Amino acid sequence: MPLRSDIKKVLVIGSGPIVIGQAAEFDYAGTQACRALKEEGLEVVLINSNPATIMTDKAMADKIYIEPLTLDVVKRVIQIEKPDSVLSTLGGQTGLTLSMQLAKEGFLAANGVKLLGANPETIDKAEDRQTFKDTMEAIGEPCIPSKVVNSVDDAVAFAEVIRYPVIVRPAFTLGGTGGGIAGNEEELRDIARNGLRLSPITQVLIEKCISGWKEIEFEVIRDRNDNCITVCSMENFDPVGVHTGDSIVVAPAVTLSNKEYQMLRTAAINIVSELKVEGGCNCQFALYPESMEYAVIEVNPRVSRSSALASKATGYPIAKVATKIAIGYTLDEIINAVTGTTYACFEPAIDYLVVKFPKWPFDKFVYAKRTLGTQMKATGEVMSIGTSFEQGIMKAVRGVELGLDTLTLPEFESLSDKEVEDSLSIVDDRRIFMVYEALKRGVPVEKIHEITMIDEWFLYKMRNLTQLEEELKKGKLTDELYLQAKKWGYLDSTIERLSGKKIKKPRFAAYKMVDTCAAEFEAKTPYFYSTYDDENEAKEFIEKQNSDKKKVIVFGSGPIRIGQGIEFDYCCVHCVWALKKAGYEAVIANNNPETVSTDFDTGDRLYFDPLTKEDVRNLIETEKPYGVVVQFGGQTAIKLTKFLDELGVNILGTSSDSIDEAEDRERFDELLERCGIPRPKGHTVFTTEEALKAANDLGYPVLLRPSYVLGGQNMIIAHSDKDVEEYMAIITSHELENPVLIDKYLMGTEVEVDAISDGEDYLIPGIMEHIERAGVHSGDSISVYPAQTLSHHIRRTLIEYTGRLARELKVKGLINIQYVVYNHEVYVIEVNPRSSRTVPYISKVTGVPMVALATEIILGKKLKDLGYGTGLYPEGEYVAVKVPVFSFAKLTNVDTLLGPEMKSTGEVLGIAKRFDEALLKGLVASGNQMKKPGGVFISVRDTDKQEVLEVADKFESMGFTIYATGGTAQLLNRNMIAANAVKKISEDRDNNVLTLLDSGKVDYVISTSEKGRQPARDSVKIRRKAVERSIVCLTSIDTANAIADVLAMDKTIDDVELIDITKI
Amino acid sequence: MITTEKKAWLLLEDGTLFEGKSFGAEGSAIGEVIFSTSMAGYQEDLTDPTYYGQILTQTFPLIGNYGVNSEDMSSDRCYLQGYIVREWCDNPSNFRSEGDIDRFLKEQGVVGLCGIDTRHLTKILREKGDMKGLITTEAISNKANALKKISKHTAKNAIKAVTEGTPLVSETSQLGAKAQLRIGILNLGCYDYLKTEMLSRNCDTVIFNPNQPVSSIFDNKVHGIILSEGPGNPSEDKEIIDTIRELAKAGIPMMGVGLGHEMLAIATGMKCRRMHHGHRGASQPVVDTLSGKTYITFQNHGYAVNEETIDDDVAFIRYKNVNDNSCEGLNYKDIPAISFQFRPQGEGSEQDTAFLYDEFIEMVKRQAVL
Repeated sequence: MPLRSDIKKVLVIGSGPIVIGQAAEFDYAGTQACRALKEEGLEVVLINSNPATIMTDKAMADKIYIEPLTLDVVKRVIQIEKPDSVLSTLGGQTGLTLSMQLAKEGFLAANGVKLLGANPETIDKAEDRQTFKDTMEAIGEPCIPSKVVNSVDDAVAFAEVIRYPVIVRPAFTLGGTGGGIAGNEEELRDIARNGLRLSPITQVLIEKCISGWKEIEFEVIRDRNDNCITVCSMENFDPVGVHTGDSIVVAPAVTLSNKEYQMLRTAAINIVSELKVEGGCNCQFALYPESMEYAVIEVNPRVSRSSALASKATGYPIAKVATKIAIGYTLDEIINAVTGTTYACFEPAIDYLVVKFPKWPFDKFVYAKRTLGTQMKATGEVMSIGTSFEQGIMKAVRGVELGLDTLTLPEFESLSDKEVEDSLSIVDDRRIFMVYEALKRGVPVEKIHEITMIDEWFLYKMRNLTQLEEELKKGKLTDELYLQAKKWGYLDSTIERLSGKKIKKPRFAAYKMVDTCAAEFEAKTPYFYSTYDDENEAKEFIEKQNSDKKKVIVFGSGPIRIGQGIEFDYCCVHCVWALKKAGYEAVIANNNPETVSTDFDTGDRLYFDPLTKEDVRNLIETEKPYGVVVQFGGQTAIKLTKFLDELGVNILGTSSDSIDEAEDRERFDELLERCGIPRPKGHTVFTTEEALKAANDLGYPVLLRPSYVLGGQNMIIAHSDKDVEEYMAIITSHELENPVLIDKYLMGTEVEVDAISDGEDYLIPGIMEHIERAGVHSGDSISVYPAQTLSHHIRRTLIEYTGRLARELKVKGLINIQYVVYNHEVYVIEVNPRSSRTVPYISKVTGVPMVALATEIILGKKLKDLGYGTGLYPEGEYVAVKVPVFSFAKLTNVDTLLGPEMKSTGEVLGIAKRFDEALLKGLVASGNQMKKPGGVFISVRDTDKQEVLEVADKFESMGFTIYATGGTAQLLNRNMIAANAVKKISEDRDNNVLTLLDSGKVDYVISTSEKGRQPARDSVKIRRKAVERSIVCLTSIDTANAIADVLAMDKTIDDVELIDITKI
Repeated sequence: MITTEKKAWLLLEDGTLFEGKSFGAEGSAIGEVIFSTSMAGYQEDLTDPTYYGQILTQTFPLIGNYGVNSEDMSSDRCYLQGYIVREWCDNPSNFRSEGDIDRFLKEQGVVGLCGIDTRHLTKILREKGDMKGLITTEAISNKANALKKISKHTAKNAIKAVTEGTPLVSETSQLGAKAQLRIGILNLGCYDYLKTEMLSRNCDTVIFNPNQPVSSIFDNKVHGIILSEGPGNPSEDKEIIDTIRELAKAGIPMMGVGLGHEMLAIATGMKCRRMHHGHRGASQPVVDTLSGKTYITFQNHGYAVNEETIDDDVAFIRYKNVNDNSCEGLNYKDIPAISFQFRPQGEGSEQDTAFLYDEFIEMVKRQAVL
């Protein structure tokens, strides 16, 4: 039966801000869902607090609410819009949990709203630990011995029965937040206490630890006629014990014999049928490597990160099909859009191997605990497709942007054999590289397997790579050896480095198609990966198509990481759409499986490959494009500019030379001089002595950073000689070749401008002002559009400077400029001649389609002909406040102190007519519960002490109890603010700051310190405690001040109007 | 790292030549070149007698990952002419593995070819249809001669080749005190899993050689009979078709699978057609035309019942392929018989349609009462 006739208007609930465990995959799923609904002529209402998403774009839905994802707000949207149905399974755990709450409260029934995609019984059977276990037992599917408990003592008692180690899994938390493996009672008490607190129903599961078993996943789709198929099997390189989001994963499963495969496939289908899932479902199994014994680990009755991966790995659009099922279709009625001739009711057959490799944030968080366990830590991932595991893993490792082109991690090469062997038992993000080092040292596969429990299959394949490298190092580069190396994923540059030989006849890659059917049928949707064969299907495809359109390649932004997130995917996708609209053939190159850009029908062609120079050269050779676009894919794409320019490729938009001018410090200084624009004084230094001299010349505080930075990596503010010495010691120990930049640090108002330019005219959609003064990375600041406090004169200056820089750099397309306003002077901090993090949200709130305009300009149009005017675009009637969202709860030992280094993983937006209302919405959307009154603990560095008085006064007058450590308390009391003195951690073991935070009396922590980072410092311990206790922790006086003002306001979120942004 | 230097070739009837490396046995063999899209189950495929006379290409590039063992055999040996993979695994990993696939093929005398672009080959077969080819480890010095040899080659008497001399075997179900039924299986080549399925449903089994006189089947007094899968052209062996016709006339409840399904159709007046390229793989979707439900099935066939020759009074199409609408199963009207082109369930294949065995047993029981 096709579309249900009782469905006309559907509410889609998104997944909110990007946090670890819930990332871009839900924008991909949500976007597919919205498109699938609109295709059917249904009216779509969308709510999602995340403005960087494509799904919140005007084209995606009829009504769009970028509003906090709280139960009350969703209820209000339902009352305003009166949808007849809610789609619950496409918005991650957030969307699902909200939908279930609405259903269980009876709100949906009372308002005549149907729940699509899942029913509460299904969800309970899958998510409530005990019900799940009972259900599995009833159908004879084995579970791991476990028990649901509600107290720490019960947890300990059960652990005695099943023996340690045990795993603690809190109920209803994202990505396993608050879980862990306990090896003894002490550890269990600690983890269980935390898990119980984080679980919204104070419930954890204690379960026997089956670490070391194979971890196998199946993605299943079922419709209401009980048609049930498995889209894909996946096998984790890392055995059970590492969260699947942190595991290297291959698809399909490779080490299972057909018997084992069919056994688990049948189990998956039995489970999904029993749960009566209608849509996509993920089933995770543990398989004992030495017998046919298995256990069901977990079932997720919704689309997930794994389903996004399975979709990209097979070409089967799970989210789209799940949506069609939710509105009434059955699998045999849905056409397989990849082949265009077969139906969705089939199981994809693939003729390649897929490897997924996680991207972790440890390069930014050097003090974070790198060990991996049941709590996910990765921010993103890459996927690679190859004809062998060797090729797949090599592509994945170079694609994940660690600076590696083989599995050799240089710093492991200096370890002794014993150190390498001893380190094999450490389960962290670098384990695969340690395993590789061990293989190179000749440690037997069997021994590595015994220690790591990684299947020998993977280890032997990795040993193949070590053997090939040894062969190469012999220096006899025969044609056959060269071809073998290419087939196993080695770059020419790597082969030349290892062999010491110049490659005489470099080979170009051939491209193969991903078609869901292993070539059994002809496919319509061109989705390719590179390999080394004679037949090049992409070339044949292009020839056969014989299109007279000009071809343009858009380079994507690779894996999601802190500093380079989903915003760039938004920009790439919009560029592709604009190119298509302008009559060009748009080709996408990217390797991130979570995104909309790598959906099979976003571009005219999709190349799923790493974005290194050689990979890109291969693509250019096959496509022979008219031009390429690099300005939308973040630093990943921008990095390619010079190389592409040297290849003679036509770079559309701002030239390679201009990009260099903005990035090269000396050229940048000259540029500013030419433009007559000031910037904070600064010097370039190489040694500690030079650094100290420069710092003292400039006067403290100063900003230090390596000359090549992304997302504020390794950037600090130094207040004294000691800081400079410590920093230079770290930098010089890393043998960085690049110099260090020292700038005078101006603690003024930070302002950000995005503009579109055609080299002559420019258009500024809006000026954004940050709540936090300079010093907090722009990505971590609360940003307000339009700017609220700038004088007319300052605005004029900002507009003028922006115009000058755009013209002087001959910018064609987008430019992002960061300014600081200090003592009524405007200084330039940074110029990025490319798209930025703020483009999606500014586009949405101003109504200026920035990427579309920029794309038209790079294709040759003039700004003045595009209908949006020039100069500053008129300000709208709404204020939009972007609030950052962090994932600190997932990252043990990371200091939450905000500084020049970016730490947030996502963002939310608050939109309202008034600034304070918009800020309130933004804060609520970011998860702040705005508790009032309660307790505030204050501990600030000396330089903040005067300013904190004002903030403390505001809290006190609202009736908050103020707590502070010795010096701060004295100061507050002297200034007539009643403060309770609290002892430092070292002063009293049983009664100090930490025990105060444990007591639950404190709702806000205001903590700043001159130094941070090192987990051993008191200030860091306090901030970590706040994270663990889910206490709001403010590390900038400006943020604290803003929150105090909002709290003092006589309004709650219920009093603020909800806004459909399609009407802006 | 596999370092064999020994070359091997595949020459297709249309003149396309693939050069790769040798694995498995050395030598030369001619057969029909076909492809299978199964991603696991290579050992079951290798020992499936249905592949008699054929050269099997695996579309999944990595074969032999979990080794071979003595349990996962579809029959006692390999019947195919040649085996083509992109890459075989020299260090298989599985707790049941007893050796690698290269050694297994050597023992079985099957010529193997690896290191070629199997996707390219598959596309040729998809576009031009299944065709004959020569797989060899001897350099082809005279291509024209080789092509002549290939075109002259015909595979005949496939059923006989795989069933020759197989004796009549009775086996008693070990499940209950008394078996519920006695089921005969006409062995057209591939029957082991059928026997297992029947025994596990508390039915005794009798395996018949297809060239035995039909009287010996009647003498054995079975309640129902299964026509098994097997290799080759379904119209070729007139004697077996006659035997099946006799059985049908006698009103014995029957279930046809694969070749058995095709031969039962011929015996009741329909015709079979050779498919452009066969259905081979573990993910073929078929839809039940009565319930509308779709099932994922394991298939391995190059012939199909010609839909235009189906007489409405004799039978109707119960199962249809979702992708190409071809006939995948028949319900007979005037005789108690059902038949399927796909494998309802076998050792290690999809379990989705295992209920068909129960349906068959129910049908037999109804007839037994009458």
